[in-house]
Amino acid sequence: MRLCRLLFIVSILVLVGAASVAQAQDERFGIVVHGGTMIPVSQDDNEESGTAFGLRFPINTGTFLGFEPYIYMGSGKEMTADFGSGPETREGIDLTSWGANISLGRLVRPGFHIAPFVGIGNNTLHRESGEISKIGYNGGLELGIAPGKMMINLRGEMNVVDIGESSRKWGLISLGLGYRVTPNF
Amino acid sequence: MKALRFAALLLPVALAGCILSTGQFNIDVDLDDPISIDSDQSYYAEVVDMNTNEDYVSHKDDLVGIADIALLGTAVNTGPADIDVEVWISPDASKYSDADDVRENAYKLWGPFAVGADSERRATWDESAALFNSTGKFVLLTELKGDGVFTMYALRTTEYLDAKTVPVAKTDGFAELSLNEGKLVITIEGKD
Repeated sequence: MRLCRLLFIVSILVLVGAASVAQAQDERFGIVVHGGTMIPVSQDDNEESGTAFGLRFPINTGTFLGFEPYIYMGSGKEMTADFGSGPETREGIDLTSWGANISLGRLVRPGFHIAPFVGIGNNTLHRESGEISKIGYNGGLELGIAPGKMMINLRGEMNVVDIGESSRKWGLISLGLGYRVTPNF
Repeated sequence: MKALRFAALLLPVALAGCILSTGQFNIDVDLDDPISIDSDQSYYAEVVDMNTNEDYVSHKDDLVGIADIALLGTAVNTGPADIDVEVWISPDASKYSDADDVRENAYKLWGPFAVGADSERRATWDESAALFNSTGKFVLLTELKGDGVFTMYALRTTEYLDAKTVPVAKTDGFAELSLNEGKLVITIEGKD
């Protein structure tokens, strides 16, 4: 996890560096409803993909740096494994995550865009046998188009929840539909 | 600017790549089959040597915790009274002399798992995972990080009414218990 934390910090620094040399843009923000699949990574006790839905609030900062608070809820799916004495089932892990992303490139803009991003958030992992809340780090890439005031984007990301010396990880693939807002101030 | 963009594109990939080596890995341990406690016995003991388990050996060096644990199998109670099954652990290969000795010196790992009179009950993964005791789990983790050898004890507890109609916990000489196709499934946390 130490290497991951270091990469996360470096990612933030790179994005901030990029933003500092970028040109200013009009301030705009948007709201995006998204849904997709949540794929556990390297979790032998939670193997099945689930669904995730949430909201994102992309904000242009006037630079190449985008800022985006988010929240999503993922529902884990029951898995089955056979240890030699017949199939056994284990309930999936539900995940609720909220936090903020920083992107290289504006997430609210007309036309087509590709924007890498990293983020940090609070993650609540829930199972009948217990619940924990931990900090998580995420990063990924967004492809987006914005016809008119609408925004459509496809996003792939990895969410790494720091559970101490190890981590729980999910890949998320989501499709978002949003609306661009240009305030009159 | 181009270099920064390129770096920003690569960093999430690197971030994803570095964490793929960490995760949760299942290790399943075959227990004696069947585990039986006759009416004249007070417990069943089994020395477990994890060093014979390939999954454990391959993850031993990067093991940092236990994410999930379950004891699977079917408990059969052929006696005339309801019974609670418990599993205890001691951190070495020595065996205690009787159930009272186990309760005094070992650590409770799992249970109680209730089985009705003259009946059988399967311990499912979900149900079993909720029955683990944190102290016993810590002892198990310590042993997994250590030499990998420990002793597990299956005990039964039966409440019956004595001559004064007072409930008394009785641990031996009352009911017969067996655990068939017993498996200990340990989900370990691995680090990078």
